[in-house]
Amino acid sequence: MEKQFSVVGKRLPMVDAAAKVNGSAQFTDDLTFPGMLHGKLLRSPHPHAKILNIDVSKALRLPGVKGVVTGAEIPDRQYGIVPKARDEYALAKGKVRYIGDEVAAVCAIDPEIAEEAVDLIEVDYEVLPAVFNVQDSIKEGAPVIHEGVANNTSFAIRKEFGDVEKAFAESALVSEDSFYSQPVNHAPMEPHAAVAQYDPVRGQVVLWSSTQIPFFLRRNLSATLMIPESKVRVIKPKVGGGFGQKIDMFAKDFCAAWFAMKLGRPVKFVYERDEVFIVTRQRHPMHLTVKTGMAKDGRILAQQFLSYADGGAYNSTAPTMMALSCFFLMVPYHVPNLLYEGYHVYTNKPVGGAMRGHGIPQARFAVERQLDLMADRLNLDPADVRTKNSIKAGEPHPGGFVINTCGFAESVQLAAEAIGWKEKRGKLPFGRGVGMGGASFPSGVTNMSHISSGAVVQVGQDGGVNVLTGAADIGQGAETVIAQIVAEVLGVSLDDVRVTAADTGTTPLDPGTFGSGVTVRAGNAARIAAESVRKKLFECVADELEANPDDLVARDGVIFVTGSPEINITFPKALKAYQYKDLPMPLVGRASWMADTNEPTTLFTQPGNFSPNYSFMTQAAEVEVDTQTGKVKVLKMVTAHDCGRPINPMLVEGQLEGSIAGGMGQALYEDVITEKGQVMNPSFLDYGFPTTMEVPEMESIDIETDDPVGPFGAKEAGEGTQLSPAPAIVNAIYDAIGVNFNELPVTPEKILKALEEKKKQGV
Amino acid sequence: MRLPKFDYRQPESIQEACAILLDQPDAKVLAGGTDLLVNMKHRVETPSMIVSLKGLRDLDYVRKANGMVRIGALTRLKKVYNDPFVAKKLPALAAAASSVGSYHHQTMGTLGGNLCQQTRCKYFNQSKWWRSARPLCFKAGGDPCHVAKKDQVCYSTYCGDVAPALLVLNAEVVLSGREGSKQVPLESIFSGVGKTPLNLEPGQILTEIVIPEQSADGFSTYKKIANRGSIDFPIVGAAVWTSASTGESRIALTAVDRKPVRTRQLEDFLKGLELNEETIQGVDGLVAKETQLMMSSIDSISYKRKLMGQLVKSALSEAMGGR
Repeated sequence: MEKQFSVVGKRLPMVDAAAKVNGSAQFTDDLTFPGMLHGKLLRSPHPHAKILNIDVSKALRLPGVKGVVTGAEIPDRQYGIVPKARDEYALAKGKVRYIGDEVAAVCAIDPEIAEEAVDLIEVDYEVLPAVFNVQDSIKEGAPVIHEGVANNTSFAIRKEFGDVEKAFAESALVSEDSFYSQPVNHAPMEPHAAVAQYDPVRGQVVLWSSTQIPFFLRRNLSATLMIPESKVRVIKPKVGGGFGQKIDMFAKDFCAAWFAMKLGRPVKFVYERDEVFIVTRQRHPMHLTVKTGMAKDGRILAQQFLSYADGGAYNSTAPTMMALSCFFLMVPYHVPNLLYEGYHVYTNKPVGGAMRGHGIPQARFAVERQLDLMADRLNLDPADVRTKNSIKAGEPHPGGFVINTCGFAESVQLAAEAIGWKEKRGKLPFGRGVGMGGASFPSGVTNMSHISSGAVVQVGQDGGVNVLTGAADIGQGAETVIAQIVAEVLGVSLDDVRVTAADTGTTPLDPGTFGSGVTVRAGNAARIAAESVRKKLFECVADELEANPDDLVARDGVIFVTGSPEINITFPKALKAYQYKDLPMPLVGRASWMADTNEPTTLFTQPGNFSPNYSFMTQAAEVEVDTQTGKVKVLKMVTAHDCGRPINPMLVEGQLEGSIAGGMGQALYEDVITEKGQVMNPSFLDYGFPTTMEVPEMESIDIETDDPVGPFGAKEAGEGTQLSPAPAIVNAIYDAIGVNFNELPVTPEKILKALEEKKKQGV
Repeated sequence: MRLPKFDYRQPESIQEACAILLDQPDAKVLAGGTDLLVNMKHRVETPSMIVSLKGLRDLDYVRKANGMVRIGALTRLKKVYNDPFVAKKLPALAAAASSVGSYHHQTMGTLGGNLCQQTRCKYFNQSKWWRSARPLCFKAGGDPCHVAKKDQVCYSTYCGDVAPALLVLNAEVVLSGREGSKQVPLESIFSGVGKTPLNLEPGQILTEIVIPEQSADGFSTYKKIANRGSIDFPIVGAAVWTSASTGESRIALTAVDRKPVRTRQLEDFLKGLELNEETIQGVDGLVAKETQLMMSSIDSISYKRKLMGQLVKSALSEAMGGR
């Protein structure tokens, strides 16, 4: 049998693995330039206050200080990744809205002097009343956080289809339950950083930034600095993790560029760890009430949702987050009637933003928990309820999604088998239990706006391949996946391919890393660009091989006639032939790809397809609860996963394992604790996310589907698996000790308290 | 975060070190640095001078002499718990030393440094700009205690792992000054005052830990509950030593007060009693009376109280089995 692929589907190490291991990989903070200055930010100590006066004279007099800038001096231009939700200035103008809000920036010859200078800035504040939770913030008469935003509610979404009331009336069981998900921090290993350099002759700013979105960052910098996009060049060096936290522009980006332009010297900003915790982004805390109507056999007939997201002081991605939270209640289960109402509310707290799963984990937690609650009330097996409600490929979808491939029902079954569901569920000794959670996630966005990736593939004289892509590898391996796709198409080895990525000055347009669209979108662009190179090469050698170009195959460094591998020419010889015909070198192919779409729409009012394709997964956990200390040990986590055809199964496994640790954090360990708006645990020590010692035995089961849209049948693998571990763990805790927890995180203290109450009630 | 500016001295002898400390009252002693340097980065300790003990090579040893186990103050924690005698005969100390922070802390941190660590508080162990959101706390040089919501007091908590183990092993410590050295009970160096948790005179350095070999006769253990297995201060830690021959027990706790606490009332209660399920039933209540739990960390008082009782009970149950 002829093998299908040579490079795609192989467990190959990341193309930059060696550089990261030997320390030669360059992250933003590794970059230094002659004469470089260092910046620091002065931040608000108040959760809500008017800025009456800022006196920078003492700071400016400190020897070594080269510049100070405040909100009063910068252009009146707000930034934000969602244009209609822009509400933030790089430096506060007139008012601060949370502890950590940027008030002024300093730049000096070394970081110590900059830090000292920050302390010398004197600010007069008029402290304003502040609000710290959604309930208080939406009340009449609550302090106004942004002028003109009534009830501090910056965004509302309502989506409805079918007839919810009628379906509830026909249901055998209607349950209404409330849930809460806590704020958690992304905590990337690399803190946020930026270095800017200015060329006064060309009037161009170059910014190296620890970012997930070089092109959006360019747009935001251009808008806020008031210079054309063509005069801003954003370069993404190696990035040490993002998880969504680096899809916004931050004060460090703007201020580095500002000082570089004013002073004509390179300027670097690097955030401290407590700044990463407090002043970047976090997962939105969310209150969610779910009302579900079920038939006697466990089929979902209708669902109604009311959600309040605590956005903190600014919008960041608010509309996108709310939309995702809503739309992804329509998969992986068939919900024929749905009503969703959601509100994004400002408070004087750290800002919510995109984080792995982006609004969906909170909703998924609620639904997956409630499915178990209702299965219990109807005396049904939660695994059966999940299988029964699974959407199916090719069937009409009530929300208008186009589902070409769906391995969800199979994932429930395989995860259940692997964890030992039938033998264990309800049958383990007290303190031990199993639970599961299901999920689905988009591979990027189809309809929300113009989202397209470009790629250029160049083949040089020696056969070396250079791929230009704007895709932002933030450690997940995007460059490796793109290189594997190109290598497969051209029939060369991964070593022959070099990726030049994420430089707005040299690489093609790309929206960046978010929404799990990189493999499908940028991967397809690279595939098509490589195919166009291959076509040129095939046309060139077809005569010599006495074959039709359409009958040629490129694999393992050889071009041959399909079915007759003995009629062939090696890749280097083919290239030589190309050169001898005096065709232009390097041999170039270019392409762009965006998902099929009509006019961009928000999908809020009409049905439509959200994403080019959808991943599906079920995770099943076995836990052990220590009834003395209340600590929960996750013993095992099984992931049964349909990500289409994995381009690199090893990288997919890396994503799964990371998401299990993240999901454990959300379920058991993590919480950004605030006291009057101040984060009490802004360090790796006090925040306390799980480490290797806590991570359980992990088993992953690949359910391969061949998706027609994804490159080589691939779908997303980065975010979806972050949705189901938390509900799987909390459902397993119920099986272990018979207590239902609907609020995250489930801390040892809550467990002990619940066990005591249970004892008191004599249950 | 960066270190503030300071002068650095590396004396060659204890006498020289003590002389420098007397001369520079706000100088701080540097051993492994795992506590001091973090506090300096947070600017809660800003000594004008660091006196590094790196040059005092003869303070790194574990040796037995005249019925005593003597451990140099600069002995790394890892060396302490890897010492065959400690590992075999002083399990409480071995368990405590090997549960400190992460492996990296154990290879850098010293036994003396661990004992002399600062007390901790969620309002104190924070960066300078974080702390600027509130009035400067008493321990950091201001007036209020944000935990007690009163002025001129400090309820920061002593969180060292090793101290309770050494307390139940009846350890003494040698304090060296310019005038010579003296040996005092370990317990006496802990003041119970949050702002200044150590009773050290100006120019005094803790140079040696002395454990009577009799403490090796008996059962001992240290138990710790922490958030994670890889790194963390204790939420609560408890050390227990019991002797089958004398019917005595010694119990000490950490992370429950401004100092490590020997629970003497509980010890008296247990004296002569046969340890069994019944006698250890009521220990939770007694333990709670001898500590002063405060909300100085993100863990609640009620949770800590529950854990404290359970830890002591489980250590005593183990002792029953160990006899």
